[in-house]
Amino acid sequence: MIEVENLTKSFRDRRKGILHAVKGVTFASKPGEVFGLLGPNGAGKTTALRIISTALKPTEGRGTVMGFDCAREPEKVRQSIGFLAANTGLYGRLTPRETLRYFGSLFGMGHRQLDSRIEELAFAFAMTDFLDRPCDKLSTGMKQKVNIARSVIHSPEAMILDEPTTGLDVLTSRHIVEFVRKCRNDQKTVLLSTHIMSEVKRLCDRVGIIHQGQLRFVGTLTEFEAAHGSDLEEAFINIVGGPVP
Amino acid sequence: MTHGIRTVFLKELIDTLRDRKTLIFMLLVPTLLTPGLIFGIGSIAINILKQNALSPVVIAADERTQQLYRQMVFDEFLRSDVGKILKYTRSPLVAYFVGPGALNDMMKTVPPMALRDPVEFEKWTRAMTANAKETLVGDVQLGGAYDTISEFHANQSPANQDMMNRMGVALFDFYALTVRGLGLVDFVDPSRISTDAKYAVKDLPFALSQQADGAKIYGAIQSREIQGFMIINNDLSSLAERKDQTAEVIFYYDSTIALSNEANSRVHGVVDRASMGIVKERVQNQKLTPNFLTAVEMRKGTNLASRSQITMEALGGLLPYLFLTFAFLGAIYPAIDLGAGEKERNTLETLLLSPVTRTEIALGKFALIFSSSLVAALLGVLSMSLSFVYLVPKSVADQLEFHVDLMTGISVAMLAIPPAAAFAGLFLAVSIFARSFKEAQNYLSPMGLALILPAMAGMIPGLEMGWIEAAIPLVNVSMLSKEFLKGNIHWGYYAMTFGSCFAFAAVCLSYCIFQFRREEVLFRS
Repeated sequence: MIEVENLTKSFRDRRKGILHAVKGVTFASKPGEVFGLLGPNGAGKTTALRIISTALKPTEGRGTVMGFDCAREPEKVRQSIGFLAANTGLYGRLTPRETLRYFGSLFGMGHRQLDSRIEELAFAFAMTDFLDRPCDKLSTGMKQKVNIARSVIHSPEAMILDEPTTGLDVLTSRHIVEFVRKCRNDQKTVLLSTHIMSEVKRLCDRVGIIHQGQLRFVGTLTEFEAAHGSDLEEAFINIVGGPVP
Repeated sequence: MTHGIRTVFLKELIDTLRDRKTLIFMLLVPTLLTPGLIFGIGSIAINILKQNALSPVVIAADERTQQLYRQMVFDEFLRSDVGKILKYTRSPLVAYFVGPGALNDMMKTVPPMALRDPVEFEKWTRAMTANAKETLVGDVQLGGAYDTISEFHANQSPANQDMMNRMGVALFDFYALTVRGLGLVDFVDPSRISTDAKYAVKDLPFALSQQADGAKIYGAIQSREIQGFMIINNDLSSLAERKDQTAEVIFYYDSTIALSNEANSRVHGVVDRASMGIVKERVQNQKLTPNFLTAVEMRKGTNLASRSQITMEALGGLLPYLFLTFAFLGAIYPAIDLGAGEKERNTLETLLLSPVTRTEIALGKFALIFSSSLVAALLGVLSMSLSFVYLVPKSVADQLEFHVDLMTGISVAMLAIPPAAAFAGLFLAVSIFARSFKEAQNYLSPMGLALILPAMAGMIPGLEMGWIEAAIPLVNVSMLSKEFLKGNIHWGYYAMTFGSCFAFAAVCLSYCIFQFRREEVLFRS
């Protein structure tokens, strides 16, 4: 379960003064559900996800993950989430096995537990062939698999995915899509941000539309279509094109 | 070390050990640079000097000047105590002195004719030069390093010392006068210079513009056809009798051309020796003793510093300079890689989202950079020590003397710890602030320049260690290392140096941890 309430993040800019990257955002994402945060570039999606994942502290409001407060119990929140972004890099000189071992160890996993978890993930994501090859030598698809495995090494209850398919080709994107569906089936809480309409349609149960740091709509896709028509793209442009209420 | 710090450290260790660039800076450069410097630059410099010292020079001079010059050398040779040279030369000690009996054999070949006629003398000198110049240049001219000087020194009786001093002077006189003054000088008549004169009188240096052949001579010196132009206007004979007169030798040369400069020093050496010989003769003619020329003399052997201290005063500053430089090199690349590199590879965010604290991440990374810096510094010191023991030519090594006991060695090596900590903290803070690898390099490279001055503090003559110097980070490391190597152990300064450097390192590390906690630094874009 991920809940955010009146989430606000302000930055001080030397020339422009105080900027609100996220302002008064409130939504909740439940286990077994994929919640999509949809918005154009610069809408505040990444900032919101970074606050929930504890990388940034909110200026106002609060977020909780599995009941832990993002600002006050960041270590517990981090134990509960897996974070993945399309541009997340890997340590080129480490092998996938070493990468998984490193992150598993950072998450406090013991040697034996890690070994069996790595075998399990290698089998699940078909990584056995390249588990001991340096990450630098892997294809984009292989790297993406390693990244997914890395994000779930500690079996998190919730997944946060920041534009997970941006810049990936169709085949590589499929790994992500399958992974998100599997998470939903496993009753995990999934929060993903995207600016791709078709991805929302394909994956999300509920959607929040964010623009200029503020949420413009929260609800199921059916509710969205009922309110704004069946052409998602047109509806989206109508929403983000209008003035902030 | 907490679990988080250890995990980050171990991962960075594996990552770094697989990185060729870091390994080159951390291991290869410090290990190979010192031997390279000592062996490469040292031998190149010695070779150039040797080559110049061995190269014949061509001097333009008219027939009369040539004759006068030859006569001057010959007169001085006869005047100088050849008997003394021959006497010492026959002793087995001297045979050792200049290598395998070179001078001994050489002197046996002096034909009686050569002691009567300047031209015959020159012929003999040239023949002898061809055989013996290598030995002479190597052993006498370049610092007087003899094969068995250490053995000789082992028995430092006053008689031995005195004999060595006189032997050294006698050999040097002989060498300067005959080999460098005649054997390595070829004369050419100015009319036979082949270089075309292309200089107008107004372009010529003033001194040569006064000469009839000035333009031609200047051109020939510039084109390296000749190395100088000599004019002797006065009669040099019987100068000892003409006690009120001073003869003049004019030598035109170009000090910016190495060999021309060498020619000048050869002629200068000959003229100075000849002049001194004539003056001595004048003094004797006046029925005065040689003491007439020396009213007050400084007594020799009054320097209280040990040879080890003298060596360390000269070289002791080099060691801290090198180990500070290597500590810098050992820290800079891993610091860039572990800080800005994480941002550039987009791996920082996932690391920050693990349950370890940012302080632990910073400390784990700091530990690796610190280790790398320390390893580089110690390898540098080790490599330098081994180079001195095994690579420095024996003849040079015999002149150096130092005793560093184990305790001092360890104390000095431990002085690498605080700078390594300071570099690691500071560089990581700067690196994590930078957006990219390149930006970090731009920030950190100038710090290398800023390091040069404190690192060289030990080499600045006259700068003495005191409490204030001991309180200045890095400067104190450089100066204290030298003092310890000289044998001046002062634990108060040592404690102060450690204290001030660790305080500096602690500030750097705190700043580094502070940077790791700042959102705007970690997510700068």
